[in-house]
Amino acid sequence: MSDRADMPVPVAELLAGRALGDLTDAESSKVQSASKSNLYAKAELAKEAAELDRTAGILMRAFAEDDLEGMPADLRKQICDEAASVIEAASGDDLNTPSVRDRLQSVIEAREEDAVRLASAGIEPGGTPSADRVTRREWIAWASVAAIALIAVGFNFLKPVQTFVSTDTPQKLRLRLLSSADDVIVTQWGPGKTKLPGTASGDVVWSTSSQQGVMRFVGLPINDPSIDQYQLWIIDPSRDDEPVDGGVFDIATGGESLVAIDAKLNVIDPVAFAITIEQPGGVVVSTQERLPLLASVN
Amino acid sequence: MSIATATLENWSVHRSFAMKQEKQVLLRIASGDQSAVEDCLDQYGGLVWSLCRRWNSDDADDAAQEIFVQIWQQAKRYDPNVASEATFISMIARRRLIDRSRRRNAISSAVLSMDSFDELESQSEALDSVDTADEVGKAKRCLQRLTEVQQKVLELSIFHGVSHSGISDQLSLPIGSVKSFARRGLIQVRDCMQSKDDVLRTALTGEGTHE
Repeated sequence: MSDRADMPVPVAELLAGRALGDLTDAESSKVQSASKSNLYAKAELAKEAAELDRTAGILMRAFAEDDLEGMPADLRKQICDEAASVIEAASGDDLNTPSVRDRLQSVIEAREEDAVRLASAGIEPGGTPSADRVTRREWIAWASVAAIALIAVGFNFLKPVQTFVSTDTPQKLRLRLLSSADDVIVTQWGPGKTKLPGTASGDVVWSTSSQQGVMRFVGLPINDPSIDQYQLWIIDPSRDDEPVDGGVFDIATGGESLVAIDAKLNVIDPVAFAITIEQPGGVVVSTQERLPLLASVN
Repeated sequence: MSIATATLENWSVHRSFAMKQEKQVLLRIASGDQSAVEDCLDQYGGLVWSLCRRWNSDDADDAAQEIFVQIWQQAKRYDPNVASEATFISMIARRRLIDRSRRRNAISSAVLSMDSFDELESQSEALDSVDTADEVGKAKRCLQRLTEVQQKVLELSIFHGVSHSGISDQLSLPIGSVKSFARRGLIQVRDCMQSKDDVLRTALTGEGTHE
């Protein structure tokens, strides 16, 4: 339950005035003083102010919902034309860009193709004249990867494409992925074919490059693990027809729950995440008799 | 039938549901994806433009451009955990419109600017996680719990950007009453929305059965 007992009404109303944009000079000084005072933690004031700002923003949307006007085409074009430079400046000069990662990926793929070709021909590097040429190409590929990897160590953008068990809490992992993963997918849970008591919601945060993700649930019913458990499935047609087991989990408390994803196999390009209810310990192949939640990737 | 086959057969239905949801354009913009600009304007251009027109039709163009520059710059601060994209954009729009209104009305620079007070700037990290589903629906239901006068004062202040004196003239109310109605009304809506979230959490606590 929200507790406003510690926030005196006058201060709360001043912060509401700030959110509404109607503070006078004198009131503004009072707010400044309150933030510097030891009476109120700055974090409490910041939280109160942020909540009121958010409420005002939602109300603005509520009032506007039924009365929207289309933006004029020439204004839209102008905004679009200006966007590129602003976005580029905002994202900064960062080696961790899609174009750089694409180039790295193409080098890795070239190395893998050569390795497969060598293995299938039973050729060891340096064994035959034809292998000499291939070996040099492979060496160049490896050298390029090594060079980029050295840079990547400094800039921290070379991410392992394999299952990685994070030691972070789900909350920290989620925040880290949202703030630093360039390929992060965020998609909301929607109802599956099995109706739940109440309304369950939340989202999935997933990064394919790091093979890490976190599921967030709000209102997912508590389960008894001795009777049944929830199991995540990652639908990835790029891999094969069978979805990837994302791990078995329990919901022990009401409200919000964060659960780290534990993909058993490498995920390449997920198109959807699905939750089923299974026997204790989960299953290898689900009959999907009970599928309460589904999150599609746009 | 495998789960993938059955799930994918239903995928088109659920995909249409997902497509009605936000396309997470802000995260794409934050990652430097220029293609997200058109999507952002498709989804939120009407909202921003409508607000700018109501707050000041004379320089609505400038206001809209300024707001979208802020959106491009602030996209990396967006946290889907604490607000929907539309609310985040609405908050940016409000700040810019309030600041422009102050400059236009030559209000003292000593008055708290929405951006200058860093300690109380609406940092996403100051906000608790909330269920952002149906934010607007909840807000409308909570708004209906206020008196008609309070609702009207909030609408004129928040949506139309009318000053207290302007609202006072329109509704024939003392300016002091306008200020109280607006501020207390906003607090009441905030409390109401949070209590709805709390009731939902409380109602779901202890549920141990499935379908």
